[in-house]
Amino acid sequence: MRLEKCYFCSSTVYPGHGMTFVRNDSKIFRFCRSKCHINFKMKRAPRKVRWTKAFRKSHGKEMTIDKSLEFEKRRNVPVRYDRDLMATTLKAMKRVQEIRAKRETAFIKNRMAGNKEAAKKEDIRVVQTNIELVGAYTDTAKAATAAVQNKLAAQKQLAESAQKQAEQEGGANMDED
Amino acid sequence: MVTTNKKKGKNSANRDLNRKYRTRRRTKDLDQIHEDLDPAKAERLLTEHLENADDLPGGGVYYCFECARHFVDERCLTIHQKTRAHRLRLKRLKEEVYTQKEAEAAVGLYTDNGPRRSKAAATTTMAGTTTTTAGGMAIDATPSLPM
Repeated sequence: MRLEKCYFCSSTVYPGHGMTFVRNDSKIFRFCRSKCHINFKMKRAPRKVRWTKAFRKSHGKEMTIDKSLEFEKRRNVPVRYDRDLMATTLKAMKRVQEIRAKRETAFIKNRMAGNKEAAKKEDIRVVQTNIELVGAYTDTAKAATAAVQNKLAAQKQLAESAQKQAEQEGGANMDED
Repeated sequence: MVTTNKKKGKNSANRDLNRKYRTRRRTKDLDQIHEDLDPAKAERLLTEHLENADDLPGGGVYYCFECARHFVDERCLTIHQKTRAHRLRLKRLKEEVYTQKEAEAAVGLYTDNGPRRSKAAATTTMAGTTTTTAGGMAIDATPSLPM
């Protein structure tokens, strides 16, 4: 059983899935699903379609240069079955998968590192360039907050003075005792 | 719920598209055109066209290799070569040809048939006398990769 890769999106084509197109010059094209086949028929360039692996690799969206990517190989020479070799291979596959996943997450994290700051910078720039649009709003907002603040301060003062009075009265009573 | 009957067949909105993408209407792919631009292949193609002159527009003489299209006369061909479609085609042809190999390389799949061996060595390996893998690469149980 051989697992082929889709011509368009590079995903794995399992037996019984997708379709194969043989061009009249006998060249074979395999597709994982009708989406890829249709896109091929529309003569789209896989390198320019954003959801393909070819695009993601060529635009630095994914890890390309890494030792952990070099283990999967197509072998056209048959390997004689050896139980120990099979066991070690399976063990190695799991380990390689683990390492690759870890590195991929690290790569993406690294790639996205500056995004938050850049977005904030851009937001500030937009506000500053269009400051006249928010000017009217800030004036009214300022007035409104000032009014609320004054009200709160007055309430607080009232409460404080009431408390003081109560304390004084309480102290006088205690003296009497 | 009201079920609407989706039009199918000759009156469907997709009719023209379906016809356009029929296999029998297939136009040449970019990788085929790349091959055609090779001088030796181009000459062969032209002679082929001239042999079938009766079936082709303009007797198969006025052919645009880049767009894989026949024209009726010289004038039409020169007009075509000034069009946007033709210039865009030229631009696309400048790019490297996309192949299945590139699709596989995008997921890190390469072919490894191991070092070239003599016939005698190959038979001994198949007989199981050597312990290395036939692919020529020993697989470690735990690949020593720093995290």
